[in-house]
Amino acid sequence: MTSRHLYFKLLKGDMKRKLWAAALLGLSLFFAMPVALAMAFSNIQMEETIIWAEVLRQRRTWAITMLGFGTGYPMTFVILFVAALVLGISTFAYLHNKKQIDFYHSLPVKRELWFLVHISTGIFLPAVIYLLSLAMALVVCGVSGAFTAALIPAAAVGYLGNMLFYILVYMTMVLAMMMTGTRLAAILGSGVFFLYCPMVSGLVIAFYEMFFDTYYSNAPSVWSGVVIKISPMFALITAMTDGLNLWRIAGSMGAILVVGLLSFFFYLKRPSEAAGKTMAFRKSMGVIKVLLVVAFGMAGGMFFYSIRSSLPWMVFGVIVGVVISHCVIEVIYHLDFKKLFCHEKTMALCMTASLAISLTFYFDLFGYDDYLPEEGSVAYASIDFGEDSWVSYNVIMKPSFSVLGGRRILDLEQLSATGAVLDIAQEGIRQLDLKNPSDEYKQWSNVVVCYTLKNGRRVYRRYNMFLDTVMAQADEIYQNPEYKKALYPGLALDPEEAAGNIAYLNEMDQVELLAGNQEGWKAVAEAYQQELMEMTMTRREQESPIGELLLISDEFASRIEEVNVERELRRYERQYWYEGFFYPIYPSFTRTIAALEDCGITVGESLRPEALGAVQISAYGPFGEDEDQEEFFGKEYDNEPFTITYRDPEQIQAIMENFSFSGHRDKNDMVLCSRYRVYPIAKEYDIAENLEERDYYSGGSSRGQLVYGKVPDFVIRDFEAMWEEWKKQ
Amino acid sequence: MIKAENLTKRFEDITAVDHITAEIKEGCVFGLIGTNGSGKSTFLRMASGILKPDEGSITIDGEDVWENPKVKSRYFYISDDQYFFSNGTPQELMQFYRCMYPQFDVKRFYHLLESFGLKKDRKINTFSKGMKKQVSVICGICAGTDYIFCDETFDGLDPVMRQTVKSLFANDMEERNLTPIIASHNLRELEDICDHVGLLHRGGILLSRELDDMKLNLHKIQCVLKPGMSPEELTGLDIVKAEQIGSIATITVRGNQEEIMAQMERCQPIFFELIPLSLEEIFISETEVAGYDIKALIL
Repeated sequence: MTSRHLYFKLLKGDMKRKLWAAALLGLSLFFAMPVALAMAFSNIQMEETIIWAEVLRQRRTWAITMLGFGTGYPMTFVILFVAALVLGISTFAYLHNKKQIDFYHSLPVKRELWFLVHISTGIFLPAVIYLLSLAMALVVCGVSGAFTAALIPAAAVGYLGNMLFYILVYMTMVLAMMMTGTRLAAILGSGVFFLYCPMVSGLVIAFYEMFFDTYYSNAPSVWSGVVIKISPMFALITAMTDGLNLWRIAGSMGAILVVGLLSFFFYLKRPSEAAGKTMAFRKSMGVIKVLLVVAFGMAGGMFFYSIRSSLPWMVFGVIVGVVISHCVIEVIYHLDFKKLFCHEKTMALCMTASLAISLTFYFDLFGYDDYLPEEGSVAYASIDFGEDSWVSYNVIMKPSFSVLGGRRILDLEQLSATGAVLDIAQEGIRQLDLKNPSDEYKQWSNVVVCYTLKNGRRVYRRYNMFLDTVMAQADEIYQNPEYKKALYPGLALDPEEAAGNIAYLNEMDQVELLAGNQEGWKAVAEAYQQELMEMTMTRREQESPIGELLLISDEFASRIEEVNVERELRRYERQYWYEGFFYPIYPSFTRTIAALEDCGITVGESLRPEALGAVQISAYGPFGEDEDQEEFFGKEYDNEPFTITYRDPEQIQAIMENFSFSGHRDKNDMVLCSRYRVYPIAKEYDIAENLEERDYYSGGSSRGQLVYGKVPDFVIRDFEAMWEEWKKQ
Repeated sequence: MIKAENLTKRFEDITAVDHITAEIKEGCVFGLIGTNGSGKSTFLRMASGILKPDEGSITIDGEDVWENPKVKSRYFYISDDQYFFSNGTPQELMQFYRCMYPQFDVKRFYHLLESFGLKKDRKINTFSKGMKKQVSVICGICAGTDYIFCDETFDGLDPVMRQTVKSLFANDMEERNLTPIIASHNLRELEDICDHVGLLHRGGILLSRELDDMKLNLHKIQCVLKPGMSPEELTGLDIVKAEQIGSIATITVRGNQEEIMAQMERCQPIFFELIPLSLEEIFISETEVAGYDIKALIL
């Protein structure tokens, strides 16, 4: 009998013997697909009985979601996932049973053929059942009017995607079966395959974050870029959440091939006498144990350190983690509780390794935080001051994802003059242990530097630091035209193109279109680009934006509109995507303000002193000599601020000259503000009637703070006097 | 011919089969005898291609058994605790075996099932232990292989069924030169069927001999000697063992039957007769010669 002929005969027989699995899977998918779809359609009909077209539209959307691939309807894959585990175990369960292995391996059939037959059963069975369920679901769609041309490709992608990841999970389970000798060990083994790499990766990253102040979590590393991905779960979750693409498909198929070949290799090498033992291969036992125990030891250390933040507790955690995990693994390996403490030398080795790694992090033995490359070894460097994370470099990237914005400039700009970057980094290192109470009011920056060394290696470091001492170097970098153009894509825009899409965002967060013509708009764009180019970090510490200007390319503007249409976004949601293209207008941008004036826009109109009838200032005590007296902390005034209203135009003028408007502060948060909060009140507001009763936080007026160090003397005096009065009460 | 050369198998620190060298000729019944843990099953599992030898080789007509379907199709292995598909019937089992054993005799299978009183469509897991063994033996015989490996197969069969199976083996040996290799710890079970016997102990083979050779060369004499005469005084006899209780002496002697008779007559005992040795007794004698206390090993 030819092998091919025999293969089909054996496959048929094997599938017949797995009819129970087929029945369970078929029943689950029947309820999860055609029945669930019919119920969903029925629900839609009940809710939307009036407009039939809307019912149909919703049904079609639902059909594509439920039969397609992704997290929209995960039930299908959840069932397939369970089926993959069950079939992975049951198709090769005979390897774990002496009786069965004697039976199968004494027969005149090559092991290669047995492997192929059993693997095929585990793949073909769900493939056929899933296909039948899908066909039934499509019939339901057809009957319910939800069948569209778009449904077939969506269902096909859903089928192929789900089957692809089914096979990946199934093959992983099979590999676990090959390497073990009992079902319990196989299930635990599959858990290791599914989770070990992501968990170890997460653990190491957690160590970096916990013990290294300068660790930049978004830096590409072997842990976040490679190790974390060595898991079917990672591939599955990524594909389900972010969608399928060719790379993911190719990667998953490659993983299936590798896992399949490994399983095949282990199947051939696997001794029959391994049935009933925890591990099939003696040599793998030690390696797996060490890998697990060291990781558990580190996790124990991390756990206790995160609770108590002390070295003794971390050491205790490591010891506990190692001892418990080693004992549990030994019991599982030997299936004998009496073997709890055997292989004590390995336990000692694991404990040493775990402690060594943990203490290396704790004491930063390799000088991670102090790392500063020799200037000669750096090819070029990049820096992100963390102050412009609002900038959008891509329309589909949400601007609020500040870290992505930060990463972008690191990738975009390469500074060959590395001296300034190294000076800033050196200052960042110096400030690591700085604990100066006088810095309380200072604004720190989240600075990330990236060195590209001459050997090609890229090194990232992050410093939470005050830039005051290195402001000259920061200005040098910030004023580099290439750096600034890379940082603000709006600066590289052709003014003509920018003018075509220009718009103004006022202090009330309302978008205003410019009056006039293209020439006038172009003048605004040119003036703004020039003034932003001249802007320095030093000035940013003194000024807060009072308005915003939209600078966006035609391509991005049309893309945003496409996104808006695609996602059927509502009006307020549409503006969100433009946020990263609105650039800050500072009070010192006089040419821009003048050009906007020519186009009918008065920048910061409601904040002009002449437009105000009063200014209310509030601040929490204590004031004057009592300012640093601890005895006043926690007193009644902590909940009720002191408030003074100024109506004198001269005083209003003095206050507003040192006012930092908070409405656009997300575009520049570098201004150092005092504790005096300012509520400008427009003239038309009925001060006499409402002033004392107004809600400080929702009175309708714009608000902000007085700039630190620039609080007018009369304000300080008035609050000190009020404080003294309060103390007498 | 099955040939084991220097065959060794270790399970961690236990050596289950220790450098065994043996030959099993076609057309005879080979009995593999030994205590529990002596290595009989391990030897058979290696012969069946289930276990891979750590050292040495096992071949059938010069071809290695391991991962060789052509060679493996020449034997049928019945383990001491045979596996049957859950909810499987004898008929389904037959269909499964048919795929792999092209010579499988379906007609005979049904005939034997009927003869043994077994229903072809009854679930095997509802059968008794003995009935399951019968199903295995029927499958083994009908598979049409040159060899049939039986691991403790007779254990669990009632005496009638045991005889039936033996006669089936005998019939196939005669008709198509079947070679049964039967492993058992029970000497009495193999006595009337084996042609050749291999005795395993602690993984090693103590002896491997033709049963007839042993029987022809070893005799037991029961005699009443003249007063004052002891068995040791019987000259000219190759005495293996001698016991005397009162006036009756029981002597195990090696040698040709006629020569022993003649020698005994020359010694003029009051009475003597040659009585047949059981397989057990033969083994006791042979292994004691080899320096082993066989009673401790087998009985």
